[in-house]
Amino acid sequence: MTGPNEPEPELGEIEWLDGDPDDPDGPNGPDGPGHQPSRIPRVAWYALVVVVLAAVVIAVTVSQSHPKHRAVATPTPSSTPPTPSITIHLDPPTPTPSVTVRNLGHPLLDVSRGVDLFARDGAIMLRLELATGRITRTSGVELNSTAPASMVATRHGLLLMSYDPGSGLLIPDGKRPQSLPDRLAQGGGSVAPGPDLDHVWLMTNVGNAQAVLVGLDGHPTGPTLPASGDPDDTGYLVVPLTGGVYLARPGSLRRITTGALIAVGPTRWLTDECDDQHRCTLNVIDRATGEHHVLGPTGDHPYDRGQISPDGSTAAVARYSDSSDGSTTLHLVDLATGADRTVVRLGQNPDNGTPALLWTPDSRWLITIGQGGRIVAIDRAGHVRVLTGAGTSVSQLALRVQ
Amino acid sequence: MTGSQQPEPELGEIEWLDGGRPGDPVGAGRPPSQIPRAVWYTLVVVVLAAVVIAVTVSRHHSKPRAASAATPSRTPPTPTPSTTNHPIPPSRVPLVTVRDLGHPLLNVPRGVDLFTSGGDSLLRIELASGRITRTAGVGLSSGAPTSLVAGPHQVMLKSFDNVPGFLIPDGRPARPLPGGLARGTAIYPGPDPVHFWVSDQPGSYQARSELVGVDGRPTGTTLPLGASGSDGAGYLLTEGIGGVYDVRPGSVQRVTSGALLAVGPTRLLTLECDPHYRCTLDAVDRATGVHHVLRPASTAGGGTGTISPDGRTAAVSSIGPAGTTVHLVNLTTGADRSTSVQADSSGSTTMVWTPDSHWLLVVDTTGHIVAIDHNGHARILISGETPITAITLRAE
Repeated sequence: MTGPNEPEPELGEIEWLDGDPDDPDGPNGPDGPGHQPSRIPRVAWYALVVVVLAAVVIAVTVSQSHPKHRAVATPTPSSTPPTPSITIHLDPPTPTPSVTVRNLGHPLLDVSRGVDLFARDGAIMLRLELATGRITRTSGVELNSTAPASMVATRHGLLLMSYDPGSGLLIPDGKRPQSLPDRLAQGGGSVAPGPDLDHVWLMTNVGNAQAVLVGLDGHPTGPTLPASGDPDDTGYLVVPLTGGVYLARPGSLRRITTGALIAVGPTRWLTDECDDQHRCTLNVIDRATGEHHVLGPTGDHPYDRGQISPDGSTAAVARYSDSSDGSTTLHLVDLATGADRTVVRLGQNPDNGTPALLWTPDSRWLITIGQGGRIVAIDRAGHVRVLTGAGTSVSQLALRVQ
Repeated sequence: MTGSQQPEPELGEIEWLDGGRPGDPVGAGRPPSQIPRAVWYTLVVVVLAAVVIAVTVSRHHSKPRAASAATPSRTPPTPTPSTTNHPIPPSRVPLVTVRDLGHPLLNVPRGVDLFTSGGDSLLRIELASGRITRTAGVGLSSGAPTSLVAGPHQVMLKSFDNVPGFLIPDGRPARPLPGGLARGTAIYPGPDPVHFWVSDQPGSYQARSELVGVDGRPTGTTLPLGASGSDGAGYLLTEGIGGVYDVRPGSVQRVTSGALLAVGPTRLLTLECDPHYRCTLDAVDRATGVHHVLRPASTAGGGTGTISPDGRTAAVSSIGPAGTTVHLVNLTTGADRSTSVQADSSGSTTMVWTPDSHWLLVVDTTGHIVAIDHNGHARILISGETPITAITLRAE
């Protein structure tokens, strides 16, 4: 599709239709369908199937008529090594994970180098290098669980962990997925970004609710937090507790609000504060000074959850509909004036119900999942740019800035 | 079973084994039947034959079906029934049965009735006399928590989901909740005995609460908020942004920005936390709003508890390794007394105080009713055949 005789794709649209002549492995990797198709006649396939079936029948018959061979056919920890001819694998073959790289030849967004977007689309993980248009596609990203999963970008890859115990993957950049170390995955739970790209907060299902800062090998590095929570956008956690929402850092719990925390950002909070008569206002809080700035009354239909741009000027917030369609709309709120601009309907995030709202470091673009599972980028003026084609159905996003 | 020839049942044990005494309009027991076994076998064969014939006939004549579908719900497989005070559909067990234990269940004044719901049945237990009325056919077909609210001559039973609920007049079969009582999520006591709040769950911006008469007619009084519980004084509590609020017509007042642990007519028990998450257990005077700090505390409990009418003791449930245990908290000293009772924490009301504050009645995890005194001593009061999921008390 990027050859000289083919039309260029729309800016930012990715379609995985065929091979890339620049890519020695083809679009589906060394084992994928980019290779020449087999020329074996269909009759030969039929014969092979018959032979295999016959072998299975014979093997089963033989094993049943010779009980002393059973231990070999059904190995147990104390059995002797099995005879090769009796070993039968009836499980369907698991598709081999593959990694393919495609270069669009132009930027996906006008951002600085080192800003990578990770997108989970079923068993596919995409890594989009936004400044260069280079896209790495990793298949076989499957968890042995349908429970919600947390996804955190690391210095050299991505960590994907299911809430269920024992199910997680580490996907190194440009390599096939690996199982998470037992220390990380064995307890299940969730992970959140740590203070740097080499550490994550591990919040397991076991024991008391607490978060432990661990390396990517799962080894604790020392700091713990007395509760589990959500990322605060600076490498620590915000935690809802009795009396409000607190910022949890090692050795300290500090209340952010007695009301509801609507949006987090590196320099400001957006909160919904109510007085003794339940009259509520939207507030911007400076994280450094604690100073409150009241934007105005909350209204009858408050915001739900969002993210503040790195420069602190704008909050992207989701508002869930009370209507039966369950739709979610994205709003951009000016944190100086309180002005609200409804921008776009969001896609549902099937894993954790919270839409991914990711600001680029320069605060120019908000990246999220639009309806139909496409990745969209929205600028300050509310203009929407679709980054992925109709074939994608993304459910989770993560951003890495290096 | 309570006749002079039979041994008295253990205090509080209810066994629905046979019918009432002949001639007794509400049936208090009679000697066991002496009919020979062969006669029973014949009777069973005849009944089976009749059932087969009836089914065959009904399949050929569809219009009689409506009659059998008129009752609200299935009836339990109770053996030979006692007498009843209501017309009964043919070939059905009675919907209302009465049993008299012949002795008090608790040393309380007359007019204190305990109501329990669970399975297909509602029990009205007259604690001072030991008389127990059972109404069948009130199964809600729902695993959601239930509202069980007593009126002056009836009880209302409603699930938190959209399963239809029942109004059960004293001593009579259940009927569907009328009019406005059937709306909303939950029913709570109103400011007087004949009015009730019908409320949505808090959270939705369309949630509201409406004051409705016992006949289901709206009074026109509405509140623009849902409710998370009764305030114990005829109005509502709602959990919202910023804490828990007491909601009345024309007034919304925060009662805590922390957690509400127990509610009573004169006091509240709350957990209050400062900006560094250092928390205390507070007794709050409802009339003045004054907080009295009892002691430092660490975590919230396992649901909202209840404070005795005299305001001296709070019953709270606390989640621990052994389950959800009932604790009694002295609201003067803060002393905490753990009991041996494992409380049901399904979300329905499962703890009530008697009006004299002498007894706390609790539904335990096995579905029994346990009576706990001020010292934390517990005994099983009711050990019925049907697990109990919700209770309420009416004091005349």
